[in-house]
Amino acid sequence: MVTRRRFLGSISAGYILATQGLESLATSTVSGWRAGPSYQLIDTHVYLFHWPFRRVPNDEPAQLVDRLKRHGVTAAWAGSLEALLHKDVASVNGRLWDECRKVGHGFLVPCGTVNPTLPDWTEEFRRCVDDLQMPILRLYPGYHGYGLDLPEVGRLFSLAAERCIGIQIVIEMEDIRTQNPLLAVKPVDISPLSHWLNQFSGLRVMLLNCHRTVPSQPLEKLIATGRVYADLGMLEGMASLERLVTAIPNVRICFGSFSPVFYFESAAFKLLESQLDDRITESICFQHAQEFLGVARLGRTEESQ
Amino acid sequence: MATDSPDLKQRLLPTQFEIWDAHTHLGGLPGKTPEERLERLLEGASRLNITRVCVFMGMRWQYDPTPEEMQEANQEVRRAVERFPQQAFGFVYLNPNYLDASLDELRRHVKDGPMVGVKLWVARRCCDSALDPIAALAHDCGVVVLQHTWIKTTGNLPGESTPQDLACLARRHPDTAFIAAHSGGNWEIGLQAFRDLPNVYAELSGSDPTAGFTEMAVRLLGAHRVIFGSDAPGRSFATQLGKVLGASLDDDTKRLILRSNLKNLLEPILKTKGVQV
Repeated sequence: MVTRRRFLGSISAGYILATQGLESLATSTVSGWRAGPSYQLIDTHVYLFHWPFRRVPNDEPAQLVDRLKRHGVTAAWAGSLEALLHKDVASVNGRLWDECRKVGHGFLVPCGTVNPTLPDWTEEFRRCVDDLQMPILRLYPGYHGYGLDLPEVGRLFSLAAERCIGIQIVIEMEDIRTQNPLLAVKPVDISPLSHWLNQFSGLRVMLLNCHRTVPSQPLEKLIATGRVYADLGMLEGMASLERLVTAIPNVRICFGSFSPVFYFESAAFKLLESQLDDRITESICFQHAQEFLGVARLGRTEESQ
Repeated sequence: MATDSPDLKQRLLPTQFEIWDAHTHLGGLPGKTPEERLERLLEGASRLNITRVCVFMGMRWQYDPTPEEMQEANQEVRRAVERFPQQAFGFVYLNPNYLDASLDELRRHVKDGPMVGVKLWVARRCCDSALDPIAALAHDCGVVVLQHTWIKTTGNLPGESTPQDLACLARRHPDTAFIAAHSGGNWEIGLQAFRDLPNVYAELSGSDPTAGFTEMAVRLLGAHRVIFGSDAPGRSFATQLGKVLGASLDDDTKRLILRSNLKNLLEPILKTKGVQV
């Protein structure tokens, strides 16, 4: 039987896998990448449980994990699709944590959520960070009905910066043209984000599914802070990845498949459609993710000392 | 490992499929001439093992082109496909709001020229009887009609066809073959609109790679009525190809979708144009 303590140990092992570059990136990781067997691919954007609007293939957690592993994914950061609409966020996070323990031992990194419009959200933040040891929180402002200019968001970012928690912000989950008309959710406006980044120097943010709606200029400004990352979800157009890294050379793009809502292959093939050199490919496949998560681990270690 | 390295490509991309793309454009590509743009497009397609593409509309996007604009757009595509006749197949872009000019274009570029299909976009809803002569002449020429279809939650353009509109047209022309581009975007609804119409093919391009799309198309219409298309360069070859290669379907079904169904539709007209298939 896997106890909570053992699971936390295994998560740490998973995190070590995902962040091993902190100590050994210069040697084993890069050489392993070339050699093949140590191939690394960190999927920073996957989900467990059911998309509310349709059943999708491989939406049972065990199927998803199996499929990701077969595609060579070495670690996956998982949110819960229940988080979009459920109001009992604590139980959503609890089920996510449990399922990651059951089916993704050392492989899935649970990314719980906090809804800063709900009463007592700071307790849920504390539970995620202290009890469940989550290094990343995933926010859904569009589905939770708040803007990033909300004062409570500032408080949440302040806590995240203080506790070295990485924040993922889901900009959109679905094209507004295909949404259920009774639940039309607009993409998140990221313009208040630069204010919070200026205010909290320890804040690190990863934007998920941002490329359809976030224009390149504001994205470039955020990237210039050195603390904003983005996955490649909803990045469209022929050779789009190549064009993006050419247009914004310092862009911190991470591999994110948005599985199982999107076909995994759609994200993976972007790596082939664009001509990218070794350094950029490695940074997309794992180095940026390691960097994002690694700061959290280092921060948490220092905190505990 | 660079992305063009054989190792990464072998790991990710199956090699057992030949791939034809039913839906590409010249608009939005770099290049001063149509030929340059098509060359770029084909180079991008080849990175994902796509060997043949259908291409239509000119270097500019025009919702409701005048006869002169239509002629210019078609001439651009014709120049481009004449440069790459074995790899790129031109469809003539028509505007039913200018019926006589459209029929002239169809004769000039398909009956008497190198093009092998008809493209209709958003100038006029295709349920309109004004499209009947176009559908009839396309059938006489032995070519398929590719009609844009969308059901937008945010509202369609005034002349933008829904899958239900296409079903209406297809019922009036049971001997003409139609490709429902985008399968309505809202594909769960779109696919149901032409389930019982054997002359309508579902095409997968131009929407997000939402899992389950291709599986539902096969379940509802059968594997022989589903066709791969990308809508590149506006859409990524990668995301759109993932809809087929990532689907929970067997390899034989994927072969039909990726090439055979489109090839079977185009083969007779391609042979008359001297294209080796």
